[in-house]
Amino acid sequence: MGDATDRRPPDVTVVTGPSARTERALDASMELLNSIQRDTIDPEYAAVASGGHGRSRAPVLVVVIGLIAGLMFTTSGLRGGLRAADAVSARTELITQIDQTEQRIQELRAQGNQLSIEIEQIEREQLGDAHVLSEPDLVWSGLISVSGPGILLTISDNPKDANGTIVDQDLREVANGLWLAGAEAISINGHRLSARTAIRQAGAAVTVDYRSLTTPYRIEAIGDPGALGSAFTGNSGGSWLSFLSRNYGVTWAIERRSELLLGPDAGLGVDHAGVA
Amino acid sequence: MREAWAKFVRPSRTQLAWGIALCLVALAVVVQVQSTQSRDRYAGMRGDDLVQLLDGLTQESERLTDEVAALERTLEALQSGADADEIARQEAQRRADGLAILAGTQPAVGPGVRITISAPEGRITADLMLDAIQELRDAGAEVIEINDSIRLVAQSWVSESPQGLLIDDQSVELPIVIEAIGDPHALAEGARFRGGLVSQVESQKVGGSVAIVESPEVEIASLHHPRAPRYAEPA
Repeated sequence: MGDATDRRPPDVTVVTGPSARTERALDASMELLNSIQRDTIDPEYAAVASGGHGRSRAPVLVVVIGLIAGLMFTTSGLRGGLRAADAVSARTELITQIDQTEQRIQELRAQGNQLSIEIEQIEREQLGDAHVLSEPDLVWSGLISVSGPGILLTISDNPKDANGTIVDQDLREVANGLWLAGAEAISINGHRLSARTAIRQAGAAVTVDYRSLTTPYRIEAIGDPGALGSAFTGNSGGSWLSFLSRNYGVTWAIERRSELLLGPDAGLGVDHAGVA
Repeated sequence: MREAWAKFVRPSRTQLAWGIALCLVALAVVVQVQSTQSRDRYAGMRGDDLVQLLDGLTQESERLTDEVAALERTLEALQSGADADEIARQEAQRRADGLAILAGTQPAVGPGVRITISAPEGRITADLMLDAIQELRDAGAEVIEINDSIRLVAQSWVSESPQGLLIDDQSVELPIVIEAIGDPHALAEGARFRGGLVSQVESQKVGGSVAIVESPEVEIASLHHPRAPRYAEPA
């Protein structure tokens, strides 16, 4: 089913190449230094030994060239250092902005939830029973909290293997496998999955609805506790995890739970779509 | 050997200059290496990744700001009393419509894209389809439909069978047409993103092609027919 074999390109590490290259480079530079010394000092000695009066200008040139080269190296090195410092501060700035925006999103979500509750209350008073939303739709869509029996699936990175880090693709396959196994509602690290939830990758972090998650991943799924676990283990989701655990040492476990509580997907709604 | 040692401890001016220069270069290298290492939960994220993450977060925060503003207006109108009844009715209808669209129980219409994927038989894998769906959701897709017949919902799954690709137990024939409602430009960009749907389908491994048409009006008529939940209860 899930053909996980081409998940990652094989690690190609050339051991002999780079080190051999370094050795050659080292020899070459030594040879250059040696030749500078040889070629500049020898004629001078020769000139002095022969008692000639034509002093060679070579030593002066060496010093000048050496100084220029030194200056060039130094300035380029310093500029590189400054650039790196710039990069660090730009990065710090970005991270600060990310943290602030995340904070702002949390506040807005809380604010929106509070407003929705107030609006709903007034509506209920004014409209009475005319205002009744379909309960199954509410459950399936992820707009409200739900509870019920199910399973808790825990997945952990293998810190000793770069390939043992869980990526978005892995969690996508797992969620897909759980839906396929008959799950009615799923949360990943407390984030409820809806028709609008995106499981993506941002650098080293997996994001669910732009919120970054870290290992271990706790995936709660409501459904038949017995059937859900065995169906998942037998389908593409389970074989994906087995592949990861066999080849990269990722660990995972399924526990049955008699009662799970999954929160809503906060801020869920539509802006562009209308009922046709 | 002793001569070489003597030379080493008493370097000429040139050698000294070289030495100092190399020392500074090394210092610069160290500074650079250090700056790329270190740092908290964003370690391993390159600048590009951080910018991308911030972009997504900013969009989300703008969307939420608009939403909160709209809710505040509604609440104000409801409390002002004048035509609170009518506003309450409208608001309730809007909410019911939104719910039905998300649950897939009502047809939907809105701006969006129509993506046609052509490829040799058997090359479009379940993983590629899953990735494509996530990309569209990431770009803000509100409603997605496959081949004019499969309405995607939260619970939708993709699988491979000997007969070919399956989505929610319905077979998916080639070419695959994905229709999505949302910001057309953002959706199209989402599919064209480096490493995204277009580059995956047009890679040598798949050898297919993708056509994307942005449209001011995409109509999604197929419905999802949910059964009553058996285990999940409102809490």
